Amino acid sequence: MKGEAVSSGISFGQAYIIKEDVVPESCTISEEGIDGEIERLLEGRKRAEVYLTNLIEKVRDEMGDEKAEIFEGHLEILSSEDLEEEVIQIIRDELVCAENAVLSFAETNARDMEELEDEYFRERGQDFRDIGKQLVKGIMDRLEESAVLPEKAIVISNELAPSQTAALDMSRVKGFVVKTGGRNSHAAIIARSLEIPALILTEPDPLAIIRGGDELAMDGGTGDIWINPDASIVSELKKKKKQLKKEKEKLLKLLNEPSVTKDGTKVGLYANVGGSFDISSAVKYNADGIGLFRTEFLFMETMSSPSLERQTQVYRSAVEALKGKNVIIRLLDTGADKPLPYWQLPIEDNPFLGIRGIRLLFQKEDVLRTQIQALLQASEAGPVGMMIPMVNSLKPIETVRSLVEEEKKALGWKGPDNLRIGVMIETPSAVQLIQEILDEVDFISIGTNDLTQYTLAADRGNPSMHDYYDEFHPAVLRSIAHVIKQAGKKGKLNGICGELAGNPLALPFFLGIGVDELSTTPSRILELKSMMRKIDVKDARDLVKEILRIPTTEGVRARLQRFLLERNISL
Amino acid sequence: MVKETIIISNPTGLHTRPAKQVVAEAKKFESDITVYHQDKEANLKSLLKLMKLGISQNHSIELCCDGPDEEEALKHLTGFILSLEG
Repeated sequence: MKGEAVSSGISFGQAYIIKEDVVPESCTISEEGIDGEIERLLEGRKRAEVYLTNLIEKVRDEMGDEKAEIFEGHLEILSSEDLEEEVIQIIRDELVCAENAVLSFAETNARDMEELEDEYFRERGQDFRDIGKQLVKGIMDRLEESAVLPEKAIVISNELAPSQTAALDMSRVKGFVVKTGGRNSHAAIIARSLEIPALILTEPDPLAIIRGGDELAMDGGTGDIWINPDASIVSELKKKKKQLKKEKEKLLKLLNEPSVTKDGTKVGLYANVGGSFDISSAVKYNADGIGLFRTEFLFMETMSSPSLERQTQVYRSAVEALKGKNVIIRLLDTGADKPLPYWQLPIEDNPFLGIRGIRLLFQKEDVLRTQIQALLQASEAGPVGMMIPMVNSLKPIETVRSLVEEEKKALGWKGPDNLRIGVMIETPSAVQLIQEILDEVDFISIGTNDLTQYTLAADRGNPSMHDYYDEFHPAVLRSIAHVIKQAGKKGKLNGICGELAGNPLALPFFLGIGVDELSTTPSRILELKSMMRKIDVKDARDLVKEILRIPTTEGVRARLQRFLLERNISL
Repeated sequence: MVKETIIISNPTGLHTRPAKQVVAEAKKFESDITVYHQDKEANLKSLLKLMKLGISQNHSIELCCDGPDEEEALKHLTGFILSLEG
């Protein structure tokens, strides 16, 4: 079977299925049904207790007492008389089945907690929802068979939420197969940063055809997966795995070499990161900086927006880890297309053309101000670039700048002047206005995914747009070339983040237009470095002159392939 | 019935961990034990209800014990809460 390649590498292991969150249909019962539902509740609770008890032991062994006590708190509440009494009361009063009563109990208590002042208690609201889910699974007898992963586990799930990945013992996870989500979903990014093979398999439904414990083999680089593979496939894959390992070892020799072209031109190889889990990868692969810190994941970890302290701590640790290199942190970039569970957003017909990025932050000004404060404080430790997403005019830049000034004043800011303001170039209007934008900012970075979809009017999440969405489209490449050229003229730091930056085929083009930095998944850095060191900038410049005259995507790709082929550079 | 007002001094307040320990101590007594905080009250033997009071450091709470071992319970629990660490 073949799915979409997400994170390269070859793995063998046993399937570990994460069942979908069960959402029982709302069900009402008659008076006669009450006793039966109470019995189901109590039996389900017994199952959930056994499950949690096993989980606690596992957590204690692997993560220590402190983490285990959180689940002991869950168990205490699960087993409490209060829960029993309150849920039974709901069954009796509202004549609903046990599952519904449990969910209603969990939600009411979660909301009560979320109204408390103390941030810690507010976050415990989510604990009640987790307890509720476990109990519902217990009632429906759909708890995972085992809370313990097999030694070598390939995790199969519908999608992976941050809270689910956090619960997994990553030392045992050898692969991910998810049914939904894109290359930039949380699970995909975690997999790439931890260098765990991953793929997306939509058809056939992996949850329908794979059973827990099945022996699996997968190749995350091609998107192939085999259930109970025969010996010949296994030996072939093992050979390939060895080969990949050899290539990687060869690349590792470049770790401390500078990222320069064949003729010695420096081009920064930066890392895209999403949190502490891959800041360490950026350091490991000796990134020249962080070109895109996606702050969304930080906002997804909890059920309310993260506190000033938490944000400051995370941003600061990134700045400290990079030891004075540039760290570009993007302001929260979310919207109806990637909603946060705790922000109810109105449904929009065209979420990609709606309230997202900075537009949403302007509606949530307190959140924006908190993030600005955290970035200011993190900038005490070193240079920080604050990148504004979804800009299509000069106005947002002006507004953000004045908010920064206000926050500085409010804080009585006497720290170093380390905070730079920049813009993510991702709309055609920002491309058209690039000269004026450059006069207002310290740096720019091109987000190629959104720039492509907005330039080509093709939704990147829509599978039937496959033939229309192409980052190598001449209109996209010409826009990129224009923006980078203007930024270079004005001497402003310029870079590319987004998928295309890490695509080896695009590298000669980027070198030729004279980009300052390319920001990509940390594990890609060495591969780009190795290629870059074989390319002369002069040749790349000549190539760009040609490319910018080619009118078709196919023509562009063919020309780039020929360029690499002539230099014996394989993709 | 006996009561005592105390100020929570440990840094995290009655977060899950310490709250769980306090509930376990309270359960050792026969008396009814009620905790009052701001305009809310809870049974100290119920973790769920205690958590929902949201008691943090420097909060003032009133402990109320009512029953055969009330004196002993109040003394023990007051001492226990004041000596919480972490």
